[in-house]
Amino acid sequence: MFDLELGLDLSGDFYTRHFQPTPSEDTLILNMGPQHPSTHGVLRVILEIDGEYILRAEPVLGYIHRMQEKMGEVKRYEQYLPNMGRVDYLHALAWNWAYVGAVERLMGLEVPKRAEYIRVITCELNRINSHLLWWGAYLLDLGAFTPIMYAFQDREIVMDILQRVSGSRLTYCYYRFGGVSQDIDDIFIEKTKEFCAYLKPRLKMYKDLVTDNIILRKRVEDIGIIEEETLRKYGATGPVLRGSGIKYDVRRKEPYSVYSELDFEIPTASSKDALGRYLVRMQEIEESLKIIEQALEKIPPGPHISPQAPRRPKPPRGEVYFAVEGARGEIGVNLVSDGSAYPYRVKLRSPSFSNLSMFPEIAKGTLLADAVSILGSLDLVIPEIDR
Amino acid sequence: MSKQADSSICAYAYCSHEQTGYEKHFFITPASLLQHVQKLDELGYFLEDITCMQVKEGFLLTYHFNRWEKPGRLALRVLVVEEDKTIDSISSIYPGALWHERECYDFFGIVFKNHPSLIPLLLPPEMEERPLLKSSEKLRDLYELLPGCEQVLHAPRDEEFGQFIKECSQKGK
Repeated sequence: MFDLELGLDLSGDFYTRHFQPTPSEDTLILNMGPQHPSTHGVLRVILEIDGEYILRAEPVLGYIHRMQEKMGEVKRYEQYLPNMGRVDYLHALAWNWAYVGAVERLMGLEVPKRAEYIRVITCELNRINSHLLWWGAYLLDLGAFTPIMYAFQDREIVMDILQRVSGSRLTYCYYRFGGVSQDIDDIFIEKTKEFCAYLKPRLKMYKDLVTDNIILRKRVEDIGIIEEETLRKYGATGPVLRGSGIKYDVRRKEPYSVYSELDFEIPTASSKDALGRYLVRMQEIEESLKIIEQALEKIPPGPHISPQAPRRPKPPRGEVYFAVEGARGEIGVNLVSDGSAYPYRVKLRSPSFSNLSMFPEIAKGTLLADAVSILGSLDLVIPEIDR
Repeated sequence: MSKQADSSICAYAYCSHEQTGYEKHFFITPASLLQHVQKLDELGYFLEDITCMQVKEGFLLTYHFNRWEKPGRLALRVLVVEEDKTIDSISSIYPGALWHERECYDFFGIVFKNHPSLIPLLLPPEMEERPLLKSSEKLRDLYELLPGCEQVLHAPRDEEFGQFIKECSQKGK
């Protein structure tokens, strides 16, 4: 396409030309993003629309690609640790855990019981924070402004609590090989208990205010239905999977740490739509509170880091895979060591990547406005997809 | 879960889950990949990810699969030689592989045959460099990285995989 009057080349960039090589009479090619507010970060989706209906969709990635996997190969094991907080800034501690877990498994390093409990408490606090932000931001996408203010009010408390032990508010680097960087104190325990007591009535209020609201229901019910077969073929995990009624959670199915000692449910929803995924996340906040309360009761005394914990690990040769359940699904770190101080290969399996890859399939035939709702219901964190 | 707790890292089949995170892994021939993936699809596995690694022998592609009902991570490993660098795309069976394969193409330059749109995913389209390729002094032999797999390289264990599938089918899903 070439506009003679303006003298502009309108054929688009590489990806647009690839998406639509020849102009079409009846349909319109539309770029949603990379600066669209509802894509939360820099995700671009090329859409072919017929009126208000989406015929084809193709996400374009890589706008904040940082080559995390290469950084893994050129930095020593301990130097790479702070990178993990930057892969998924909303659930940074789960990535911390996946990486230290992989190195510990490779080295056969024992983690003290107390450290495991501290990890569970902080990781679940972080999960609540992630779900709260998703809740606020999703509703903002759908046109409700107030919830994000409530969500940020709650998040502030969690960030204060986590700052106390980790020193940072968002991109945590709190876990160490063999434990955590520092022990929790009485004030941390007290504040966490206060937060649990505070959030429960708030969640009830959110339910009355938002979840049962007819305006929300109209935007999420029967929107973005994902069938079991699609989920399996694309390897979807996390609340996206459980929102379609499949009870798969790494914390239960491939237990790590002390999750097997704790009593909690895996919430699922059978409706398969955006509402199902919404409800699963809201229930997960409650389950996380349950886990935190139990862990605070059960936490044993002892060291917060293993006495054998190396400052500069040099794991033996071999390969491991370590998976944890993040707020968005199964996070996996696949580590290959050649016995030196640098990893030979680091592969990061990010749940958002697989979840987003389903989007072309789900978006087909939906309204453009619903695509925003579907994208939001997948709970995407773009730095995690691009790595 | 662990069937052989004594061996540090095993070469194929029956890994110790606590030590490696894998339930089983199989070295298979490139030609038999599609047929084996088809079997896993029938058994109800989902695709976790596809990863690649450069070694002296060539490129080791690893396909991770898992199951919802009876979890157990299974890895299919295929060695692609440097001169060839092509392998069949499994996207006709698992469409989720589309992006994983494009990522491997980005980082290593491996060409997936019959992939519907093998264009850069994460890297800029004009970039020709393959960032995860290693210089020759940094390359290691595969057996240095995965101890105990010397024989497997020369004779991939397609039969063993066949046996495993047979057992699974007999037991039911």
